[in-house]
Parts: sequence; structure tokens; C-alpha cells
Amino acid sequence: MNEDALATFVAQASAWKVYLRACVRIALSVFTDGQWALWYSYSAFLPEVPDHVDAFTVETNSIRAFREVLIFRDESEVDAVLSDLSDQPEIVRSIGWSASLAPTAKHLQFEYESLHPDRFAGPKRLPALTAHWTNPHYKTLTAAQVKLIDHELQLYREPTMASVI
Amino acid sequence: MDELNKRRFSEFVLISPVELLLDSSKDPCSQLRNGALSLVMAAPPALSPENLRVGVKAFRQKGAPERLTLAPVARGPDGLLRLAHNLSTSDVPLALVFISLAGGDLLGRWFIRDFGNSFNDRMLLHRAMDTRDQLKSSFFDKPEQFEDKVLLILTLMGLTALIWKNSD
Repeated sequence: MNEDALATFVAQASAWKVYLRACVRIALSVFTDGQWALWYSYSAFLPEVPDHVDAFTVETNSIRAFREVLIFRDESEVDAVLSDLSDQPEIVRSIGWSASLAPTAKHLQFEYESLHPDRFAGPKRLPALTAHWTNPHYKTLTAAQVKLIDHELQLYREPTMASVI
Repeated sequence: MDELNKRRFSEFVLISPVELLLDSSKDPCSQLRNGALSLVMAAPPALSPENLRVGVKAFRQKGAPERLTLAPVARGPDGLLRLAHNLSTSDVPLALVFISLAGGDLLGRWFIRDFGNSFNDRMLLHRAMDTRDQLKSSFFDKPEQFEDKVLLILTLMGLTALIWKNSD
């Protein structure tokens, strides 16, 4: 675990916290090997509250996913989010559930890009932290598992849409 | 989906609090015209204009770029930050604007172009990169690169060219 990268990102976010007004979060969690595993998440800390975000949640027997906006009313709420990230970077929490990216934080590898990751377009500076874990027990999903997930998603009611949480 | 299972990851991104407005279809926007540089920036109210630093690298048609730091910006009644400056010459088709916080924390950098004083953006970018005019001075040095260099010139002229080689 490269703790320096995590600490550097949190320090940069703290330096900008007075300007941060919202955080857009996206997460995808899949029930894998008997537990809820976080497969992907994205959190963007923004200097203004977006005019409109199509928030949604999906919860089936195999899939939990959401897109939401957290609005920071003051700096203490930014501090709380950054403190969570610093203490438990492997965990993503939603209302009523949480999922883990890796067995423990020590399993994570961190990369910090101070200026601008190549994969993002635009001239603005975008300090970015990536936390990843390569699953050693990875197995390709069987056709039956893929069909089951597909079936669940097709049967699922319309994703819950809310403008801003 | 299998790839996400194999290599799981979380991304966290900080969006810079300042943006230089450059969309010419909207008003107001930043402009460069005959050496007159007019910058318009969006920034949250919590960001005091005194805490901002604006640097400019002005690419002249000939010679080395001019580098300068501009005076503090002012916030207008519409909440936008504005700054105007006349460069030392009107012969500047392209400028690179750096915005940072006092103390050196970079917030972003943007190219701004004088549309009335420039041939095309590709040529301007090439001039900004090839300050010693190496393309011209080494044009005939390597015969095997001749076609590629002609292609580059045609591209810099704004044409869309294609090298069509016969494999025989």
C-alpha cells in the first residue's frame, strides 16, 4: 500500500476544501464469493453544486449500484468525507449498505496524479487518486451467472431517479 | 465486466475551483485581440481574487515567447473575475495562460488564440513547440522522413492529407 499517494491526495483536497461544494459519487458493487464486493467507484469533488444530476439506485440480489450527489454545507462535512477516505479507503458506504474494494486497506495500491491524468480531457488541473486491487481469486463469470445478472436487471423496477440527494 | 472483477478500482478526482471562460459562443468569454488580452474566470465566492496568480506565456510570430505575471484580478458584479492587459506587441497569435493560487498551487492552464492574427491553431501549436524552427532546418536531413514531413506541412496548412503507400 502506497500510503504517500493517499495522504498527498487528502492533503490536496484539504487545501481546496474551502472551495468544495459537492461530491458526485458512482459505485458498482457485485455479490461475489459470498460477500458484497466493490468493483468500481468514482468520486468527483466539485467547486459548485451541479445544476442537475440523474441520481439513481439499483439493488438486486447480485447488483448494488448508485449515482448520487453529496452537497457540502460547510467545511466540516468535507472533512468528514476526507476522514472516511483516509481511514477506510477500501470502503464505500451507501444508505443501508457498504461494500469493500479489497479485503483490507493494506491490500490496496494507490496512484496519485498531481496535475492531470491522461485519460481525462480538458485544460483544468485534476488531481486524481486511484486505489486498485487485483483480485487473486478472480474467475470469469460463468454463462449462467451472467444470465442470472441480466435476468435480475431486466426484472428490476425502473432505477430510482432523484434529482439531488 | 470480468475486467472490473479482476482489477477492481476506485477513482477520486478534485475539480479545480477556477475555470478560464473560453467558449466564444457565450458571453462573456476571454479574448486575445491585437495584443490586448482580456481574461474572464469563473471562481467560487470563497476564492478571494487576491489569492490568485495569473501567468502568461505569449507566443510571438517571431522570436522567443514573452513571459509575464499579471496584476491581481478583480471580481465583477456578475461574480466573474476579470483581468485585462496589453501585451508588449500586437504580434501575438497565441498565449498560454496559467492560473494558480498564491503559494504556487496550479489550478489550470489554457491556450487562448487571436483568431484575427493567426493562420490556424495547428500552425500556432507547432510554432509554440518548435521554437528553434527545427522542422525547417532539418527538413532534408533524412530522406526516409521526407514524406512524413510533407504530410506535416500539409497538416499545418489546415489540409487533411493521407500518405497512401503501395506495399510493393
